[in-house]
Amino acid sequence: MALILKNIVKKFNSQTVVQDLSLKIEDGEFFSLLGPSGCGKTTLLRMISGFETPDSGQILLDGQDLTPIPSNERPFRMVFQSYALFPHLTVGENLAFGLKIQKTPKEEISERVENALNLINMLDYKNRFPETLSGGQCQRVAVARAFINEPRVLLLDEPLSALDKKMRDHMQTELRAIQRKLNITFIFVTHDQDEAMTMSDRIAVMERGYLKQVSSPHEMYSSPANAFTASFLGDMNVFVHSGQKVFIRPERTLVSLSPMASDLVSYSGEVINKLFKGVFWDVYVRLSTGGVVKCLVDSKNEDMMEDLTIGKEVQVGYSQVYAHVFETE
Amino acid sequence: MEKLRPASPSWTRGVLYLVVAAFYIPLALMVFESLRFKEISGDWSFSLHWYQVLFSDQALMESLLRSVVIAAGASFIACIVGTFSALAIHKYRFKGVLFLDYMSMVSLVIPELVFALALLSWFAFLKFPLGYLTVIFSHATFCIAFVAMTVTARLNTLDKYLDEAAHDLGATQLQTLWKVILPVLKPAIIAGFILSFLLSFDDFLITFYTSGPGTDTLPIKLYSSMKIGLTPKLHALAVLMMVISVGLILILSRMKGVRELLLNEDS
Ligand SMILES: Nc1ncnc2c1ncn2[C@@H]1O[C@H](COP(=O)(O)OP(=O)(O)O)[C@@H](O)[C@H]1O
Ligand SMILES: [Mg+2]
Repeated sequence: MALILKNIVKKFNSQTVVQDLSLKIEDGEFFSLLGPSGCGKTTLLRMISGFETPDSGQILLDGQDLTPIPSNERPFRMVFQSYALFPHLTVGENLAFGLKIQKTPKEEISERVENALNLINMLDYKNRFPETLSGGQCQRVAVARAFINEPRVLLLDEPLSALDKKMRDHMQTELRAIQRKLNITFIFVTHDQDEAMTMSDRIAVMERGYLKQVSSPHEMYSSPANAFTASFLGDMNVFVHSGQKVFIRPERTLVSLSPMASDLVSYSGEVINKLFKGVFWDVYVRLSTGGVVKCLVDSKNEDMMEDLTIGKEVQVGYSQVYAHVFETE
Repeated sequence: MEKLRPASPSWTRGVLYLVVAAFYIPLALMVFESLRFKEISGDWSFSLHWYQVLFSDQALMESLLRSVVIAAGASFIACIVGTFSALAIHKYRFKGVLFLDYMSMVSLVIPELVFALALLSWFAFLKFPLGYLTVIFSHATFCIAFVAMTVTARLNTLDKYLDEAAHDLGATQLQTLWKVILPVLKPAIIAGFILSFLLSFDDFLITFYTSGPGTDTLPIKLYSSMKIGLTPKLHALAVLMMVISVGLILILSRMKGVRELLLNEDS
């Protein structure tokens, strides 16, 4: 059983925001929609939740077409980027809102509210008003308010983007843990590639309304399907080899003071910068053929780093095995 | 950043005191007169005598009640219409906010007499008999913009997606309105109500033209009695009106969130 999007097209005025997009999301999956801002992620999410109607195409849940079902009757819950907590209700009342609408018995409501508060570690905050909470706490309440109704799918629109870095890292783990515990499908919108990589079972990369690739983080990183995903997800060096662009990850790009082995493709260049990153050094080399590439050097390699001074002539190379070459689109 | 300004010369403070005095001395005098009771012997003392006279004047008390009923009715209508127009304009933003600005502007700058005349000819055109209803309707028209203003100010501070959030949690449009939108707007609506009540309660000109026989409000009563002559009883009546107005303003400024609302209006 799954959520299926079939040939979805959405236009605003004359601008096509989502272009013939098809997607299948499995039950219990942590699924991320990743893409630069303005690529149509929010619009896609709003079509799933029912706040926007596709111009053509279908959204199916377990084979049933959702088109005629209004958003308040779809078994989905949305976590808004701005949280949209009800300011006149306490945390507990915010959580109880959806259950009350569904006329859940009182005892059951209070029990489920307690459980949800327990899950997000906020039992003591039940009677507080949203304006007295920190950003991270509001975020957790918004998530709890959404999952307490036991939806089939939780839709999260950049829920972490308003938090500071430390809180964001913390919430990434927290959200993932909550998702595992509840075993609910999460569709998670983000423009942050690191966030998508650390959290997701699968990632869908979007660009200007098109779906560029759908796969697991590891697969997407190690075998990107096109130049866009290759450079959007993680760092990429671009070499030009026999008139073709070749993409190589920095950790697969070798740097050396002596000539490279003959089975490697090599270029000469000049070290222009080196940055100490703890486990690795980032070494930037300007190729004699033009362009700058980044290589990672293990910081245990102390002798080599001593010799790799700025301005030094070096060899840079890669093995064909790790080369990504794409048809021009 | 606030600019540092040179301290104002001390004589400006003197001017300020003078201006304040010019405002408050007449008021103080009025209060004093209303409390002063002259005995036949020519001596005088402070007493609430004139207030007793005032409260036992049947006709006056009836007009006070009428003023309250009209103000409450007009504010009630203004709150309903004003709140919903603010909601509609907020939802479909584009030109709406400008329109609202113009509307409140118009009701501020159009000479009241012109407005009264327009209303009067409108009622004549409709052949609607002048009375309670015409006064309430007329007052409501100039109060609507003020309610819409306080409600819009509140809406601007709210999360845009509150209604969608409620809808997403299963609420129908009506439930969303009833359980989220109206409760959240409540302080603004109450503020709008009190503001409208004040405007209506104090209004003289428009009431004068749009009220029929037997629907005199307190200000009208005060006016017609003033023509006969200034008496301590009239002073007591004026003080009573002042106390009601100032009391309402005090309530308004004490209300949670209202101060910010009224101060933020321009931002
Ligand atoms: N209600 C709307 N009316 C007109 N254009 C819109 C509307 N919502 C979004 N857009 C446009 O659609 C495009 C995609 O927007 P959005 O889905 O919000 O992107 P994302 O969430 O990926 O940043 C943008 O160019 C945006 O300007
Ligand atoms: Mg967005």
